[in-house]
Amino acid sequence: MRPKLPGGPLATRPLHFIFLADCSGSMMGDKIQSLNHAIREAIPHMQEVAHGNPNAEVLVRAVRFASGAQWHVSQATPVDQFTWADLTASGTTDMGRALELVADTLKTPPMPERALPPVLVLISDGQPTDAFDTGLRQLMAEPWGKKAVRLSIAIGGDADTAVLQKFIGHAELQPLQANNAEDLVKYIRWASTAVLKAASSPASQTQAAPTGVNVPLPPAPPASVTTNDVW
Amino acid sequence: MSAPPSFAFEKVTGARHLRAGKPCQDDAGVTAAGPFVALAVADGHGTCAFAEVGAALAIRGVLPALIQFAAELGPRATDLASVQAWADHPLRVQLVRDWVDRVRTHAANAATDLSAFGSTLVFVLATPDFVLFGQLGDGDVLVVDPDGSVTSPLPADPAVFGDETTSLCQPEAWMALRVRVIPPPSPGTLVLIATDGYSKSYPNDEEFRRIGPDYAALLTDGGLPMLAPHLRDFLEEVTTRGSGDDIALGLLHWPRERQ
Repeated sequence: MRPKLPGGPLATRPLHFIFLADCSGSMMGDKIQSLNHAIREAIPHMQEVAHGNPNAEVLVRAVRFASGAQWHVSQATPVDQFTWADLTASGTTDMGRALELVADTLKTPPMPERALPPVLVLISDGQPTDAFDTGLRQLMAEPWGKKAVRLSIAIGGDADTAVLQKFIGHAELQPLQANNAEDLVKYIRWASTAVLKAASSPASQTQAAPTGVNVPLPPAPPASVTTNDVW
Repeated sequence: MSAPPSFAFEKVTGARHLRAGKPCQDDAGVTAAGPFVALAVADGHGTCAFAEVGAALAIRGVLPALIQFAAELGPRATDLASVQAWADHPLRVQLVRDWVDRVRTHAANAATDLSAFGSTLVFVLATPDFVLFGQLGDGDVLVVDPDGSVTSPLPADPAVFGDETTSLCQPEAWMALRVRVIPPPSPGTLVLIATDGYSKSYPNDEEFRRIGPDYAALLTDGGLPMLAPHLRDFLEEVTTRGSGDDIALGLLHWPRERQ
């Protein structure tokens, strides 16, 4: 008979996936509806990816930022139980405050060192109206903030892509430009599936990894070649 | 002079690698020569094209080098301060240089890109006069005293975080190789060395370190020879229900005196 397995209880590795959603007044109408639709549409695909890797425990949260920032989904929710309540838009674009909120949750502890790299997806159509650099500094001061897979999606031509690029922090990755609802769905889906899959199966790497990014990512889908750009 | 410790090692392909059809990129090995035993595990980085080769070359190189280090010390082996100094330099440099040479020979290219072969390395050398621990990159070394208490003989590497690790392939890698010499342990002591896939299968360090006294308790009936056949089952369960990563484990045990 085999002896009892040595050690305490086993655990899969947690992977925190966080949406940071711009809910400022300029998102009102079609943009916020499209964002709600895109995230809701992505959920079953996220669940499917998570089922494919039982060694990762995917936990999802969301922050909304407008005049201030609040948790839209405050509990790290197992992806199987994750549902999306619609966001509404009004107010300014306090993106820096959103980064501070996320920085607080990525402190170690409570974040275990053995976690998988968190995935942070920042979605915005405008320019920060608060101290973005302060928020980013706080985020990057946390080891898991620095090691997170940070992606950004620019909604429309007025988004501050320079700020979104600073959030990413790697020249190899660019903000994804969504100029219509179709592209927004595509990019949210990519972040929620292909990127999630890559982050949940990380290969160990040296500090001087050739890609320069924390997790080697598959290429993002191209923007649609239509003239339906409405944003 | 105490008798050489008994030893065992095992490695398993991670559950994630099995699903993806990837090979095991961890390796492990042991060499016993007279009173000396050298045991090592290595973890090839998954981002490297020839990770499993890098890990295998690390094991193939370090074991004879450690045995040679012990043999050449001769009577100076009782001076632990000097052994520590020689382990710091030149041994660290020699071990890394040996790996680099082996990679270049394997690739038949003196200018080959070392980062394609990146690997960590964890080892222990047991002699009648001292025990030497070494670690480059992530992984774990646990010493379980006869009373069941668990210690880590090597300092943590602040550069190791998440899935990022220091590596044999980095420039001046020898500087990231931590080594420590301690006196021979008491009978009943168990040493475990493992790649990071083992500890990452537990929610925290405390739960992981419970493997120390648990393995020690399993040695009371028959020692390592009785335990060794179960190691593969253990590790397969750990990777399946834990990290999903490859795991390599090595154990050294100094049996208690016969009652």
